[in-house]
Amino acid sequence: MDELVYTYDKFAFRIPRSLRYSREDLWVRLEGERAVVGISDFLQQKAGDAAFVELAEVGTHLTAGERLGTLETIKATVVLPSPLTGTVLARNEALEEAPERVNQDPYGDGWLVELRPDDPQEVDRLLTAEAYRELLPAKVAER
Amino acid sequence: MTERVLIIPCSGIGKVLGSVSREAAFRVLEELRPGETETLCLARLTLGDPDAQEEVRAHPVITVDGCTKGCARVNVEQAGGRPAASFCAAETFRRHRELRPTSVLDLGPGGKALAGRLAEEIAVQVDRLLHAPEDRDA
Amino acid sequence: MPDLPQKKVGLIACSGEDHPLGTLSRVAVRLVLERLRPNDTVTLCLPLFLAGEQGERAFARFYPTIAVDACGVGCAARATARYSGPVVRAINLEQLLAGLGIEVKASWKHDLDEEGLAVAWEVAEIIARQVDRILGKEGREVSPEEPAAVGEVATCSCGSGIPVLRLNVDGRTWELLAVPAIFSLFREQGRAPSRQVASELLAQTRLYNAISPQEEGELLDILEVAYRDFWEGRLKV
Repeated sequence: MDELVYTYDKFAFRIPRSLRYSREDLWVRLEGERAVVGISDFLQQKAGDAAFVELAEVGTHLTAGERLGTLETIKATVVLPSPLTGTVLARNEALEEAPERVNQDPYGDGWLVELRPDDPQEVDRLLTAEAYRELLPAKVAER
Repeated sequence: MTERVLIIPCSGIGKVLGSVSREAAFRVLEELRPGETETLCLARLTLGDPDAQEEVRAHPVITVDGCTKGCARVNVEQAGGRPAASFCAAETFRRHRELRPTSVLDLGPGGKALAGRLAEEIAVQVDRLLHAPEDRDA
Repeated sequence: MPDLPQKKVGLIACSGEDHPLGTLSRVAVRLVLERLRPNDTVTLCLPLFLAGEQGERAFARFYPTIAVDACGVGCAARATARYSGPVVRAINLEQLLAGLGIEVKASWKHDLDEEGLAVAWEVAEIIARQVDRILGKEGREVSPEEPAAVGEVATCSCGSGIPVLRLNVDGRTWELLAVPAIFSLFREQGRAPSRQVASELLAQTRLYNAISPQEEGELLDILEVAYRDFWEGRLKV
């Protein structure tokens, strides 16, 4: 099956197996030399309905952990740390007018940026879906 | 009989912006444009009440939704109405991000202020529908 | 209807904007969701039965549901029955308050004053006891808990809370409502995978999902494989 699900109470958090994850709840999909980045289903549910998504400019070089952008909802402003070291090649401009895409389709139309990783092998050091799922019970308990 | 504009907010009970849309509608109905606006229970449209359906077909309608699901707008359209204007509290929040509502049951000062801004925008549309815009101050 | 574990009760308020008790219906339901029974209840915006999708319309088939209406028109109870499934309890607030000797104020249409809020609490406690009765937890204290964080207690269109199994098979994504709960129930009943069990799974799945006759054969095969994977621990739902 291509997706794990972690269920807690009435909430279910989807975790596609084909992606890698950072501990800060961002996902990465490597497509050749480009890494597509977005936020996980858990993070979009935790944060709430997106009102604004602000992203680093194209051409920005980010170190892993450096601010890739922010997600602002009614409830909170969430800083999004880059899962990789690399350069921003593209950002999802559609989120300017339709930030709700990060909620409606966090693994598809809600993607955030494309990076060119300095070291593509850094993606392999991110968490697998199974490893990310193991973190969720503790994360949910923190909510 | 004087024409009236129907103001129909969503019933959003799960999200705070649903409460904002509701509060904004009541501000228009009771404070900003009393006598020129009316409402009806959105639930009657969901039920398919023929009288409610007839009302939305017969009068100009402004819908006020909390989120992009657009329940008020969709229910009016399914009843055969055509909203003359549709508002979304989420859009208003995007333009006034400093006005943060607190909770569904208690909007707090930020939420009430946000509802107030939305109500003013709705009132402008009411004027447009009923009068020439230069005849009224908002 | 399969005897799925009834862990939560659905609450649907009419929220009627043109009736003083519409606001009270809404407030009372939120008080139950947030303060009195946050772990036992879910809600859904009533208009989503028309504006939403299959997941929303499955709400009352999955959750035993209490409708809370302002008046005898009964929009919440009737619309839920029409689009989703019959409610297990229907509360008419006009009737209820008349029985309690409580006078309704026209001003409650917009906002509940202190008196209105006290009435909402009283109604919320009545609803909470109904919830307990449905879940077989009668006799519990009805005392308010600390309010949960905003947005955590009620699911709306963001999720009716019905568990969904998503399967990608040959390029097509199947989203099957309630199947995780059905799988769990079958496993608890000790029903080992077989073609016969898969047929029974399909029958239960059809109660919550619109499946065309053309899809049934393919879905039967998919359920058989998925349930075997679940039974053998390869699929977590």
